[in-house]
Amino acid sequence: MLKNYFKIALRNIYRHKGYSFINIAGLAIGMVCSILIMLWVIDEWNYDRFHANEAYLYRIVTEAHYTDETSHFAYTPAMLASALKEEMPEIKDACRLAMLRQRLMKHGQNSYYENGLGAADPSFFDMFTFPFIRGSPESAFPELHSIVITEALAIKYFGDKNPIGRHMQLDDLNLKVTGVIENIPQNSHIQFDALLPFELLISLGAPTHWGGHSYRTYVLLEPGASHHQINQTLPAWTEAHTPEPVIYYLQSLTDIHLHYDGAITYIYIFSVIAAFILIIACINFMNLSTARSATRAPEVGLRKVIGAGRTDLIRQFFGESMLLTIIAFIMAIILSELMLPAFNTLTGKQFSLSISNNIITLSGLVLIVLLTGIISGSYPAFFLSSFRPVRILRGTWKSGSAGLWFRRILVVVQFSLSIILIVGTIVVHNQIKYANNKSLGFNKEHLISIPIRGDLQQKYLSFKSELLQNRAIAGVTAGSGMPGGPIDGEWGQLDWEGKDPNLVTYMYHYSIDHNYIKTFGMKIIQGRDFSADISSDTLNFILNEAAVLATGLESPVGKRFTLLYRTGTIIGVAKDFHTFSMHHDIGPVILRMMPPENWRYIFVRLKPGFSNINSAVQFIENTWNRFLPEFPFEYSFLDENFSESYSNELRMGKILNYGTMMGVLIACLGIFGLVSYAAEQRTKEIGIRKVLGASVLHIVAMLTREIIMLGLIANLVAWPLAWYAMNRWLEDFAYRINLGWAPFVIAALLSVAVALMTVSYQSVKSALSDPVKTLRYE
Amino acid sequence: MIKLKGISKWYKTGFSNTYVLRRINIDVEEGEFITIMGPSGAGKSTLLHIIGMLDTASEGEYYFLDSEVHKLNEKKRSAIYKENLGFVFQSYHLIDELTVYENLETPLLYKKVKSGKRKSMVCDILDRFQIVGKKDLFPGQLSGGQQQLVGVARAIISTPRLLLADEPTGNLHSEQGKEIMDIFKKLNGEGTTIIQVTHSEVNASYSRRIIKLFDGWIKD
Amino acid sequence: MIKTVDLVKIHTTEEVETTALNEVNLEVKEGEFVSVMGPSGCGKTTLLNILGMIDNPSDGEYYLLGEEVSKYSERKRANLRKNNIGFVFQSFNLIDELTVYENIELPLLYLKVPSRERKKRVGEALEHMQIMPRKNHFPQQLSGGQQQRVAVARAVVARPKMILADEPTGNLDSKNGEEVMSILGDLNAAGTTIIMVTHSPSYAEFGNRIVHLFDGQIVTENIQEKFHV
Repeated sequence: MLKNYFKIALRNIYRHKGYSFINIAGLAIGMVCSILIMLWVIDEWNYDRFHANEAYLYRIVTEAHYTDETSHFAYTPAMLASALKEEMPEIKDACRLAMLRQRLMKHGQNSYYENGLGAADPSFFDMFTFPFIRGSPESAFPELHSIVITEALAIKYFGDKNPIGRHMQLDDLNLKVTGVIENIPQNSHIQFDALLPFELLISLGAPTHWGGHSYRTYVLLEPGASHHQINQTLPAWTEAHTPEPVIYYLQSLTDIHLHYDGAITYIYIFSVIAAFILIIACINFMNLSTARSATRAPEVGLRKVIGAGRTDLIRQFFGESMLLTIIAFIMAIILSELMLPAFNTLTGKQFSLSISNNIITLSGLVLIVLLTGIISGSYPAFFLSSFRPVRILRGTWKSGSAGLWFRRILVVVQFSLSIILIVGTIVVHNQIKYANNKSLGFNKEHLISIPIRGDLQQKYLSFKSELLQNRAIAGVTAGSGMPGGPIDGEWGQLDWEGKDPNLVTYMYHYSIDHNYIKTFGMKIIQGRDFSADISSDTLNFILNEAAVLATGLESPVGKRFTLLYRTGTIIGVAKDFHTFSMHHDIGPVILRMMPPENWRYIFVRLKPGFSNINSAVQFIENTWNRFLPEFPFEYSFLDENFSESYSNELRMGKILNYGTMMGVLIACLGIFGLVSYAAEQRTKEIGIRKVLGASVLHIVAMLTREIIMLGLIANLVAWPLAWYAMNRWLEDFAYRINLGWAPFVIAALLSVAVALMTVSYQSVKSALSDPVKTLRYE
Repeated sequence: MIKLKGISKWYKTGFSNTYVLRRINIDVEEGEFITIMGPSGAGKSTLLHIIGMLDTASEGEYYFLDSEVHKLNEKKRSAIYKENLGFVFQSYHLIDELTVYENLETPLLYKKVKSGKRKSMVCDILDRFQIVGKKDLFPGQLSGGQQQLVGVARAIISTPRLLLADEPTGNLHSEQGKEIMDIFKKLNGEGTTIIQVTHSEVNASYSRRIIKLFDGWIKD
Repeated sequence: MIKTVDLVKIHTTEEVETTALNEVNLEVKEGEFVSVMGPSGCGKTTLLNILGMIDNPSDGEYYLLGEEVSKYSERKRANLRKNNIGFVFQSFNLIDELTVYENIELPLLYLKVPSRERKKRVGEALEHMQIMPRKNHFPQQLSGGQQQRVAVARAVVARPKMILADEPTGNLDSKNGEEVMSILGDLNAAGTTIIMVTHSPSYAEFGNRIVHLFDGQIVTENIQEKFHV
């Protein structure tokens, strides 16, 4: 009997090649999208889970209490780790990790600027699982001037030679390579290319007081210890150890990427997108199978008459749909494999479809496949097998109406999902555009930042005047940081006229050259800008609007202000500008001219409209090389830096784009199949109407009417859902667009237009068909 | 074998009922060959369907071999049906995706006849109807008459006790029609009870009893 | 009214090419009742389809009411057909999703007949065919004879000049068959030209002329001397 079913299933698939193809293709595309997105989701979910001690590892987070607000950051003082380890029995081990600023690394002829330098305690290698290729965790830091490097770094500087025992220079430090570890997996929040001993960092003068929150602290708990309990004792413990207004608490390792970094939001969003696409594909499959199985009603009735029981029929239809589903699955695996390189480029990761890595994915997918096959197969079987055969044979059974409502509902669901995807795409696109174009409070175009190296600080003035001789250069300035880049902050050493002594507040500050504000295009709205001619300006301050608000001063200009032991006068107020990305509120910022040894960057503004940017950059490089021949020239454009902070949104926008296209494509396939089917069912009726005089337009309208109606209903269903979802997403942005009507109207028009196009081919074809071929003759 | 008592069948149409059969009383002994005749719309096919357990009466009692069919649920009815009945339709009603051989085999598959026995039964009947050469063809490749022959063959392959035929020669030439009726006659001679519905006086002449229906009533 | 000159129709399928009509010359005058007979597969239906402009000939000419229509576009043919020809098929070909009333009304809708006039004409047709009590039923609820009567009603509701009937009694018993033939006869007496394809010699004699088709060609014609009354 099984053979019989299998034969019929195959012959049916072959006989209705068109529908079978649509069915299989739709399902395969849906599965491909799901597979790829699932790969990404699982990778994100698995962040940091490769450590053997994963379940016992925690990071310390600082909760800092200011008068008005509380903020959290993962930086802690150097003394915290050992204090916790010694005093808390539940804490088995602890270590510190610091990421260093960019330094020049040299070995022999190879010298490069390295960004991935860190420093850690030796216990780091015991706690975390970073396998050694050469050397071992025990012998990681035998002496102070050691360095452990990754495989990639080893190859970069040593080729295929053994680096152990050899020396590398880091600025003016001479270090011996004492270990080589495997490259760090991409799904690890801890990323570095080389590690120095933490003690070395301290010996170089890194701050170790309890107020210096500059390092990461990790702890390893004893088995059975509860981090909740520890967190409950920590507030009291902290108060006993430090006068700072802080509380420390433990954060589990896996929480870091998911919650602290917020990856969980995107995991949800992408999972939802994948689910949508797959649901659309499954609905297609069910719809088309159901519709087509109605054609087989005569066969069903006949089989019942011949002797089939209900179970026999259920098994038969179930088997057929499983066969189609399995074929689709095979196609999906092949397609996924082919699309992997493109997907890797899109996500910036390296995925592969090897089974050993993805047992969870594949078993999940197999489950979906089974479910789809079962649902789409059993519905027609269930429905048809309940009919009295006599009605089918007699012809009183209206084949087209079987499951009609079910199919209509499915089409509406499909349409709605597509519409939600379309609205999402439009809104995300708009928000990103807005974020990119919104007035930042300064002019980020054509602004280059150049990190200061060597003794350039001393030579700054002559460097600056050399640059200004070039016609393409509009201005040169310098500072400790830039919007979107590094910035310093302080809470303790702040004072101003009339400040409440109990008030604790946190403010950011830049040390800048006198023409920084001008060069950056920021606006002064009260008082005046710094001036090189007024020597007392080196002690004065300019506050931004948010800082003024934080001080509570009504007319700040002229009032006394103190930052980090220097007292001066507030000479002006600057209009707010975005120090961070759109995700964050504008913080209170203090600007001051001294001290220049804090400057980290030189900024060059190019004249707008100057077409040859490359030659301008080349000129700057040439000038640099004359001043600092031993340091390679580096630069970046500020507007590019800013865009990078939206990389997540950009990526999501792209994935949403493709996802929506896929979803809509599949939905179209489905509608096409259904309309083709409907047209086929009504062939006889169309023939009769044509003979009786119906025009082509009449017939087309007749066939398309229903789809358009369903499309409009779907819009009504989808709009509130899309509205709610988009509002929630936009809440994450401190600065966001207004939702407005436009995306919804566009989605409605688009969906109906696409449905019409899909439907028109088949309906026009039917309307033009020859009645001779369609009328039934005995 | 068959006893129909007061069988009626109606459909609801708008506010009233349309009666298709009215208080039919029929007794059929085993081995009879009966023709049901009457103008179109008289209810002949409906009566046949009810006897064949493909449809249920709105009212009345139906006894088949001492079972009270009118009281049985679908499962039990189809069990009796499978065991005892064969049906020949006016329009072939073969499964287009299966070959002639496979079409003939299908009832046996549903009755769970074993493979070896199935083979011999199918070959027997192919032989008997002289269509061995066509066993691997699909219904679409056969002429109307041949399809009908296969339909008849399929109905009788499991030697049913009762054969019901609804206009079995309606779409055939007179020669093919004669062939079918000859087969029926032969079957009846071997003991199969046959009830047929037909327009054709010629076909009716093969049977030994004629029941006339008119407007849902039996006409005497 | 109708004249065909050397009409040829060749059917091409995947496997084979069949000549359904082989240089058929036929003339039918207004008011005639012509029966076309012949064994099955000899081209009767094909001829009727071409006469009804549902199909195009492969070669030859077809004059309908003085116009040569064999090369007309689909739209022109549809228009001509709508206004002049009514069809009756062997398998009734009613639309199952519409009621009897709606089925009969359909040609008038496509002719854009205004609502009042439509109601009147459909009512007349229902009366004439004696199916008024069934007007809200669906085709599946009617017997074969009743369905054919609805089909005839539909064919005449637009008062066509000509009716083409393809085996109109094929699916009916003798009583119903006689009835339908009698209706056709009445229509013919009232002036409608009728061309009918049939198997049955007795029904063929309802007309005033019998044309025998064999293998795509007209072989003989009998002129009946009497008209059926």
